[in-house]
Amino acid sequence: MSRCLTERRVVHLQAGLGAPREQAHVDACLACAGRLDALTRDLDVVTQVLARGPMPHPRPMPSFRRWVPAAAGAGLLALAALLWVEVAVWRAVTYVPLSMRPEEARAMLTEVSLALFSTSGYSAEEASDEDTSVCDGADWLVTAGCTPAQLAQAGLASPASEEFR
Amino acid sequence: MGVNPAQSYEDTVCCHTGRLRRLCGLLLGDSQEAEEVVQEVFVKALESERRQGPPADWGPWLTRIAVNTCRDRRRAGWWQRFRRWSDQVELVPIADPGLTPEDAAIGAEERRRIWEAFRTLPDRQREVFVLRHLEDWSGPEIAAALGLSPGTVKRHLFRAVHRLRLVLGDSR
Repeated sequence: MSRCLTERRVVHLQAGLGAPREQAHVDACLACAGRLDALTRDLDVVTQVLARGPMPHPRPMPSFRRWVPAAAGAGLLALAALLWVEVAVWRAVTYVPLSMRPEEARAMLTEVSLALFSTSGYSAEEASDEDTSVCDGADWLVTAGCTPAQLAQAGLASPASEEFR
Repeated sequence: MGVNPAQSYEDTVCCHTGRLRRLCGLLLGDSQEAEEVVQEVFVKALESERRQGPPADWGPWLTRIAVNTCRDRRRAGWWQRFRRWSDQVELVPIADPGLTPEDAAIGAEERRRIWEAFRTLPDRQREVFVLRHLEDWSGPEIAAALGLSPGTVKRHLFRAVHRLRLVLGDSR
């Protein structure tokens, strides 16, 4: 006798889609015949419910419960879009020099900060020149807020300390 | 055709309305929507009959139109699908006057579970199961109507039966 049928084969056989040799096996095998009968009984129940029983009405889910997963999904999508913009788009359109020496970087940052905080009418270059001259002159008004240690580090002597000395 | 086409159409509507309403209700999971689809099926059938003449057999022809119309309806929008997926099946009343003794023997809880399981089947599995076990179509007929290979029909049928039996197994 051939091997017992798999569940798939039994389902196919029950639906009339099996091979003749599978039917022959079921006719000869009590175990498979029992499985086929059980399947037929189960399907009778299912078809009875679906075909003849009263058709149930779907009860709509409360709207707030329906919106929760929808809102969560939309939030996740928005987050993914933000990440994508940050990672892919923003970095692609922002120019980052491959190599920049420290003095170049310092000069660029100075330019940027002067351009941002300069009063109207001052160009960055003028402001930069003026700033340099003040620093070079060791004006006491400019250095008034500095500690002696800071001034010594910058190579300037504190005017107040010289006066009192 | 030997008879008046209009009369034939009227007869067809009378004979098949209930069956198609049930079929569309099963495929869509919503009796109100099924009602609309059945109207649409008959309009399509009338148009098709006027264009090409009546079919040899109205039953399978209308069933095919109904299955295709239900599929179009399901594809209509993600929100509709989401609604169908999220809605819960309302409990069927036990003391229904239309129940036969066999139907009454099946418990309300079991009935609800079967409906729930049936509603969660994928569309294809539901179509194949309904056509095979409720409409009593053969495998090759289902394959031809749904544009599937016989092997695919068998696969869908097995998965549908397996899932529905799991529900029955749990409740027993």
